Amino acid sequence: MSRVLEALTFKNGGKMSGLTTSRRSFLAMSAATATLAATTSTVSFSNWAEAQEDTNDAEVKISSSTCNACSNKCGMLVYSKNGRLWKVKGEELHPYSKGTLCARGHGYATIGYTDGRITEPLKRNEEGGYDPISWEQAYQEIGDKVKEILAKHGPGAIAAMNDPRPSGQFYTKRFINALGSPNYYTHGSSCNLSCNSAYKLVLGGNSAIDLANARCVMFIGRSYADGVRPSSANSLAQAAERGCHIITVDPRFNAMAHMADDWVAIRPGTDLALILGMSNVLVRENLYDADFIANHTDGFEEYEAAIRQYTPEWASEITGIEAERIENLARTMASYAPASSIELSWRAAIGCAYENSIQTARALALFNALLGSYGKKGGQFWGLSPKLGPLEAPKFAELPKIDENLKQYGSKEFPLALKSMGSASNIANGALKGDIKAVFAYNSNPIMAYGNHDAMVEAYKNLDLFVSIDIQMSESAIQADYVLPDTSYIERKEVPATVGGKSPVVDCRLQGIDVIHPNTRPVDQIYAELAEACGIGQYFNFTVDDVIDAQLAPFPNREEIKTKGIAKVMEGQFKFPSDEEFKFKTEDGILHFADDVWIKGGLGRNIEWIPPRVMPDTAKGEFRLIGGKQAIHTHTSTTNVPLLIQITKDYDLERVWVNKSKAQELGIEDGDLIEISSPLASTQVRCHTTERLHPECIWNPTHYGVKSPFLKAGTGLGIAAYDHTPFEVGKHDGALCSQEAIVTIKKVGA
Amino acid sequence: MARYGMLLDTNKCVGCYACRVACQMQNELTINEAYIKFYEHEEGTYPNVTHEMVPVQCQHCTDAPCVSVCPTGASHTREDGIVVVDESKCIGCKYCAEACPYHARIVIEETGTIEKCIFCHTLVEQGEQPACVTTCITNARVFGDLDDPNSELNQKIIEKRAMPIAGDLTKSNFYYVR
Repeated sequence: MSRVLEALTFKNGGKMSGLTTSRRSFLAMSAATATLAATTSTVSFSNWAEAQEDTNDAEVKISSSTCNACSNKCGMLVYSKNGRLWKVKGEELHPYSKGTLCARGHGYATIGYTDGRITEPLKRNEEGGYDPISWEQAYQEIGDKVKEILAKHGPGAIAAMNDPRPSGQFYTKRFINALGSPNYYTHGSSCNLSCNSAYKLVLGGNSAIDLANARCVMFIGRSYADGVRPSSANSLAQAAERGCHIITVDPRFNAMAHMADDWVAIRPGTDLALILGMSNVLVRENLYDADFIANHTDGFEEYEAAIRQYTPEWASEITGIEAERIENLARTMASYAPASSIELSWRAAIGCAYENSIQTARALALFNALLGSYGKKGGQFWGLSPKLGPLEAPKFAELPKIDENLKQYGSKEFPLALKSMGSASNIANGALKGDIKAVFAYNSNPIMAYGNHDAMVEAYKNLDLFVSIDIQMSESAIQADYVLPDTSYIERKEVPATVGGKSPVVDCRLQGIDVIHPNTRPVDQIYAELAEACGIGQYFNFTVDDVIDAQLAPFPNREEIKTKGIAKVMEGQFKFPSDEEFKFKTEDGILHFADDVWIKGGLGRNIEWIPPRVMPDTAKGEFRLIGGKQAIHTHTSTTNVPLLIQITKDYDLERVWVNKSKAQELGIEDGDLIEISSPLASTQVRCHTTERLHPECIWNPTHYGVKSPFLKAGTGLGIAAYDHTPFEVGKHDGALCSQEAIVTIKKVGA
Repeated sequence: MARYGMLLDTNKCVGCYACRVACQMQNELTINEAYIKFYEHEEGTYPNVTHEMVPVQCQHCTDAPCVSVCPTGASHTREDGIVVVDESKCIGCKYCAEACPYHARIVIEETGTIEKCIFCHTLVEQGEQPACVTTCITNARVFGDLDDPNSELNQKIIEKRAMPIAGDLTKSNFYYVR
């Protein structure tokens, strides 16, 4: 390290991360997977990089697109030279990127050029390897199998799951519905199924935080700097700069915590108790918005009675946070009301981590109602939602009516789960029980992302048909019967998407670069051709351009959207509602503090404490294994992108975090190789000892532990997210319960 | 003539590495070649702790040691204050890389020559901002003209009391808020 930096930059001996250059592989690739036939890649990442150097004088073309690196789908501009990607840049008009892009936005654009791309249709052979086949053969065989399953088991035995939008979502959903099946799933069960289900029931749908005007905000397990939406991170930095009171509740001092006024290091899994304790303070000290409650809610008396028992002292016992501090947090939030609220969060504690996550989200939504922050400037609001034009017959044949007795798989067991997401994790249970016979996974990696890897492999083996439509040989693709090669997102045009909010836009991904591998096909074409083979081709007699024309028809500036790829709509129409105008999005427009709707999901009419499924016995040296995102990766989909995984390698970001004092007790030092053990597995990984973590947990970045031999760039780094997480979906909502995992650790060789 | 400089507010920086990757793509670097390095700093003991990320790149020093040690004149300072390397004159001796107190210089694998942040001067000449500034998700970076008292850069330096990372060691034109 430079002497200047050592002496002057860091007063207390801060270290430069990432000087380690030698790398060891801790996870040996399994022998079985080595027998897979390698797909030949005609254009590799290094070829792409070399090609760039020859194009310095080439004409630069700029095309509008949207990013596909995560669920935000930020607007961006694709710069190409001779039909090849040069760089990307954030789109100014897009509400999520506002001219910027995160690291993933830049790096993931190169995914099309990476090794590990699927370049031709593949069929699994008896040895567990893959044989290249023609598209015609793939369609024919998949179509025959689908018809056979339909005849034998009916459409309810077929399910489809999808991560990316907008074409992926549109075509996947239309395809499965055209087959007569309601079994369409998003990645919600490993992200935000618990919270969005609760918000649907309490609020009628997710509200957004008006961070631009907020005077106080509490984040619970949510970090805008780790799970990045660029404009949110920007709003937070601005809010911090202008003195908004920011509280971050997280077992980990996350990447945005330095902007917060207060870090509340909570015992993982107990966030519900904190919210109940703060709610108790607001109620007993009359710090709630009585007018708001009188005008827009019912059931408050029941709630008031229910919340009395959850004193700060009670909450302190459970959360490990001093009672006085809980009181002060509640009073502080109330002092800034109504421009004060708890952020609704995505994943983590409230989204899918614990059996009590859905109840945590319910308590959170009610807490914000106590503050009267809904519909208020600086509080929680609902933005404008542009509506795309309808797809009408005859061009778009009306889809067959789904048998009314046929419900989305899992919706009987998990009636509280949001239907538009469903539990993709629970599909594995369906496969195990024999209820689900066929799965189509579009750009989804259920084997790695929706539950414990080995449990998922075991379950998916039971399927009669597993089709993976993807761009790279993911852990799921290598288990599929058929793998169909998609183009990457910047290689194609897609159907339109809307982004709501104060200043909504409609955007339309345009083709930014030439198709890289000639035998890959865009998602729209794959589904239309698959549909034909499955006997439902009549529902796909249209092109992407036809969808664009129909869906953009309501917008006067549709031509601008088509050519520029993005335009503002509904300009100047947003305003905060007056108290008379305000209505919740629920059916009757009010919020119900007590509600019988929860009973069918095994929760009480009134809010009450429920513990997480498991708790570590710290006296026995147990830790809870928690996880989280890093700004440079999304789920398991980016670890094969050289530009991104190199950052992980340079800065040792795959390491598992251990609290420094705890580590010392165990004789573990920073950088040591540790063994993590649970009834499910024993894994080895290097550790990062830190003061930034609650001592009762260890933290794993949930992107690593690659198990597909084709995704070589990330091989040998870190451990998989759910290797130690028993596969048991949440009993109330079918969510993953990603952090219901107990482990012990020791230094390897100690 | 402008004299270009930059400000980086580490209170806003969230260490997301967007600048690194945007820079690599803009400048067509390989995955191992990064002009921006990240220094991480944790302070305090649990639960009273804080954390800082400090991205470091070429500081475009007025008193640039890399320029004074360069035996061929490849490393030089442009009229607009941007320190650059003339690849055709660089013999890859690495004196400059050794002399740079900020470790901001890297070897380009293919040519063996030295490179480093050039404030994306081709973009700047077209009226745009350097790629790291444009893409910064928290607006932690401000680029501008140090000779223009009204530039946002100068105003922010004053408002935020920004300082070069090593004081007046090299008369750096890169300011940090910490």
